[in-house]
Amino acid sequence: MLTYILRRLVLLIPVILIVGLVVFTLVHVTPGDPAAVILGDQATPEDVEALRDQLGLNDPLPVQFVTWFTDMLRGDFGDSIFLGIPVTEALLDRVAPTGLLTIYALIIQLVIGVPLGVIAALRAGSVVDRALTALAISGAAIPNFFLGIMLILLFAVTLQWLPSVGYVSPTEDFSGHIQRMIMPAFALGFSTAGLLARLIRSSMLDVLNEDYVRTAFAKGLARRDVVIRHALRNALVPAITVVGTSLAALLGGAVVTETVFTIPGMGRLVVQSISRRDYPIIQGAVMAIAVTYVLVNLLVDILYVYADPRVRLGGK
Amino acid sequence: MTPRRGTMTRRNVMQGSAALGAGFAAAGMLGGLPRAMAAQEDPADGTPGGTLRVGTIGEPVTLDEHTTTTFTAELMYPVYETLFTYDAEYNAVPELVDTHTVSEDGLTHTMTIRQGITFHNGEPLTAADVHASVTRWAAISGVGKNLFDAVDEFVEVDESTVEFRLNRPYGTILIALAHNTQACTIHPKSIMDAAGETPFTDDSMVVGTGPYRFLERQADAYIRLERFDDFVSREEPTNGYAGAKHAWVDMIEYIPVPDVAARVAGLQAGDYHYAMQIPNDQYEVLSGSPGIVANIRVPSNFEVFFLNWRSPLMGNLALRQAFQAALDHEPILTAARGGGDFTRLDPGWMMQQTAFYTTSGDEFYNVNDPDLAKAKLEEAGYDGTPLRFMTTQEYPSFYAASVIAQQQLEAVGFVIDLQVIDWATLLERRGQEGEWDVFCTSHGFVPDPSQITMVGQLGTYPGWYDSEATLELSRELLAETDFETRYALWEEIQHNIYTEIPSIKVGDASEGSYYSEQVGGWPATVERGVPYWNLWLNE
Repeated sequence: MLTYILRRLVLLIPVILIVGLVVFTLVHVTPGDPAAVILGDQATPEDVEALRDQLGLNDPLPVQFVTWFTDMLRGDFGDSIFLGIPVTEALLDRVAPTGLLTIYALIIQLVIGVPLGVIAALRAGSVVDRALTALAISGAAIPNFFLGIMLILLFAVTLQWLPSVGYVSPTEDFSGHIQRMIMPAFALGFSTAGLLARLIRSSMLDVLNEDYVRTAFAKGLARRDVVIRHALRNALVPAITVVGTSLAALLGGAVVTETVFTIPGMGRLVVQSISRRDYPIIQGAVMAIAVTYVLVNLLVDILYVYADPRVRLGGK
Repeated sequence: MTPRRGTMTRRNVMQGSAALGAGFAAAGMLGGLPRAMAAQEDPADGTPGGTLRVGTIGEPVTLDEHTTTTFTAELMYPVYETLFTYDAEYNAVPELVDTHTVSEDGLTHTMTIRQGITFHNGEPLTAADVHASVTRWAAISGVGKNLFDAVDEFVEVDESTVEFRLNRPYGTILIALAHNTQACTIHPKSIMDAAGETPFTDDSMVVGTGPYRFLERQADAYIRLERFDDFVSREEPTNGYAGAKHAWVDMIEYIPVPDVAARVAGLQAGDYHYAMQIPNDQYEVLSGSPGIVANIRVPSNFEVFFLNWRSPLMGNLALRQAFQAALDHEPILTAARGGGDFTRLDPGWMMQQTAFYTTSGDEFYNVNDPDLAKAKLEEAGYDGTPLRFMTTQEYPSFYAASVIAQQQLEAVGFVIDLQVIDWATLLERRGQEGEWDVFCTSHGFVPDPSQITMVGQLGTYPGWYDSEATLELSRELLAETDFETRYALWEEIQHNIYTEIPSIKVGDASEGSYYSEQVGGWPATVERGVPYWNLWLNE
């Protein structure tokens, strides 16, 4: 297993190289440049050209790439053009809000998705099943920015229970933190919860028809034990994949959710950096997200072993 | 109000705009306006304390005013000061300058700097700081470069005096120094030397002399300003952006909320006291919201289609005339800005509240004559080559205006290639002559015609409006000091804009001001940004 993990980690190197080359090329062939954005609408092309020179954007692209890539391998992602701080610092500032938001959303996804899926499977075909299915589908169908705005209108504007926007770090004010994160986490987690519930339902249905489940019932085990210890544990194997890949969806959804709820996270930083052409940030953030994604997939593979002892990693 | 014709003096224009305001109030037809009028209390009578929170349209690109024409100006207005500033009638009046004298021949402007002023970093303000700031600004900004073409020498005479020695009279020198877009803000020499011509790289460089000092920021979360205790205010009563600055609130906090729906909701929820740039279609909702004051501002900008004089298509006058004749401005304006009380058809590039307002050339405004357009297309020998029309959805009004214009142009026989691209791409691409034929943007209210981009920038603004006749008139306009003469020059230039057609003005548009009822001292003068320093919070 250890060699397997090591081998997967070594495979990260070509991933980094390829992602780096692709993102650098894409960012630089996209029209638009930061100098024009800084100067704004009323500037002349001559002013823009002068600022491009000042910012070093007129150097040949291969030169810029080699400089960036070798610096990056040493851990230096360069400085943000707009924020005036190193990219690593900018990204680290944003990891906490996005990470916490994603974790809360994941918790909400599991808390809603798993029980709903199990209940729907146990009552398959009933009114309860259909209602839960409808809820699950609407969760998947409603865009999370729309849900976010609706939540703001209900809980912040009409009922005035929660603040509409903003972010407070949990170490600074924990209850304020939770108050501000609950709506975005729900908006984000609800959509993937629906998908998870659908998946758990169908894999539970498969498992419930297996012989060993019938055997468990036949030997007189309590229904609760059968469902949770025998059926659900086996139904979770495919669900782990979905949770793992939905982490990517959650990170993607965080981009929109962070904009609606004014959370200073990675997603918002990336979107803003793209619209401003803050090249170093875009490149650094895409690299960070790619590496995270690879690591999450590795983690999912390792989790399989614990969920299903029959799985052996490393192909032996 | 009907457009007026002919020459007019500054005085009767000001009476006109006063009448405009009175007309609004008397009619009482504009939802929240009476409340807004009631809110115009004496700015010297505020209540100290509290944090004024403002929902902004997003994170500013830089806090370095010299390097940007974006909304940084409004955010940093309480922090930075300039040598001159605008009063309520948009005259340039002294701010950091104490006395200003001009030599007989108009070529030497001597300015003494107010004494006892301290920067936020504790350094005293001296002529050396002014010299360094003005010099850097002149090297970066278009307005500064134009001014310095006319400057032989800019010297620091002594510790508190600077002198502009000109090679020709320059009528707009004070306006150039007062203008608040890419403003000539005054900073410590040490910071100017460290910054060079690149934007500030460090927040510790955000230092001015204003009533609030930059405290801290977390990108995408907040920018905080706090009252600067050593601020020295001018003693004259507040007048527009000029005169006394009171700094009532302890702190100003800008919260970037790029999503419009979230910005509206946050205002309704009371999370901030004022929200910038709310689309006009939210007026109905917000004017009925408890605790919110909604009023419609005096029109302060307009959408413009710029035509590329260096493209094979738009370089052809007959084709530009066809473009002009094809457009029916009313539906374009309504789609872009909501119509009704928020818009008005008006040919004046200088808006009605300025002394330079004229309807010169209005026979070519809002022509809406499809037959004429078709005839002009024929005359131009138009062969159906698609017109590359650049617009963006990042500014919904630009997109809406462009789509309606596209339909009208296609109806007379133009083939339109509407290129919907992001704003950063548009800004870059419009600088390349061969890449486009038309682009849409907006132009803000300006107090002096020299500040109209395609006029003041003398043929260098994208579109490259460089007809010899107009360039000559524009140079005279920049140099001339007598108002009547300048007005006559401007009338002629505007007429040329309508006959030579470098661009098409759609029509005037207003925005709403939406703020909490808690806010006291809401000013009448907001066209160039809200002067936050005189607002206070009532309990």
